[in-house]
Amino acid sequence: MTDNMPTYRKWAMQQLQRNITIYSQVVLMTPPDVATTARDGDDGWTITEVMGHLRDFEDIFIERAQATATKDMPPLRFPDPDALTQEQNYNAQPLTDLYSQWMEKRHTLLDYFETLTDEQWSRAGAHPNRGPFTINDQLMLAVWHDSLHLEQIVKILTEKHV
Amino acid sequence: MTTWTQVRKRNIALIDKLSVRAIGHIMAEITQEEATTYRDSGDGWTVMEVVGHLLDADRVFLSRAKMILAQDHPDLPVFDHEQDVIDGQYNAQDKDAVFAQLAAHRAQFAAWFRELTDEQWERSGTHPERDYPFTLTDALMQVALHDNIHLEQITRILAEKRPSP
Repeated sequence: MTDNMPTYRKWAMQQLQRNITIYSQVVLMTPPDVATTARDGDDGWTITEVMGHLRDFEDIFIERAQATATKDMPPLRFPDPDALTQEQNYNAQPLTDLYSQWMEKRHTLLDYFETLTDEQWSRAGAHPNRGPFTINDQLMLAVWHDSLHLEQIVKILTEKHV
Repeated sequence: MTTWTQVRKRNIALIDKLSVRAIGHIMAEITQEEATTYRDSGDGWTVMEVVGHLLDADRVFLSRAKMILAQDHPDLPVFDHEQDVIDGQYNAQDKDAVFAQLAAHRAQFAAWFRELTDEQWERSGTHPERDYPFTLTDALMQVALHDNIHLEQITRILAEKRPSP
């Protein structure tokens, strides 16, 4: 089963890379006034807040991978996303700036992933909710996380709850 | 150490809920004219043809997966995706109807994946384009990758052709 893991990693990293383009195209299609006013449902995040969340969690993903690759079962940080959104006041920042910052961090994450050995990919950290969590798991989670928030952004764009 | 059950569960959720829903939101937002006239790179597929291709591919991927489950390492059939899109005449169809077919088929596919046992996930066939035994886990991961490729294509077609907001 795990024989195909290198292929899955390659495919997952292709998706993380391609999501840079998908998000850029979605940002391009977002009217500026909608970016900070339309929400996910009545009181969910705006598109700008989603992008801010992605930017800040990309740092978490990098930090987790680096800690897992170099330490023995390190605790993996999981800050409260809603608290972070309040604290960082994403809506005061241009969507395009948040996107550009996320994109730079995404390249950093992908570059770091490229350096890992098979042994490092199988190392685990301690995720507060998920228990032992390998770098393979972290990669797959990052793909799922991108997809989750992409669906959220296009939903906000379509429904435009203001 | 990697929990394969979790990886599969998350990828089933991705193909069942996230990627198809994202495409559904886009299809709900665009007009029939946009869906059938804006083309990839001038003469490539329209958004409708991309969604039609996803439907064609879903049918092929599920039929291949069922062959793997039912037969002993079968040779999986090739499909001509370009010809299937031509034959499907998707630009003459209603965008919401085609998307509804994709959503329904994908729900069926995801439900089929959810029923597999650990042993069944390991079953394999010979894929026409891959040089290793193609397992049902490979089949699931391929669907997620394929969705991602075409979601990029759809957003690119629209971003290039729609007037800037």
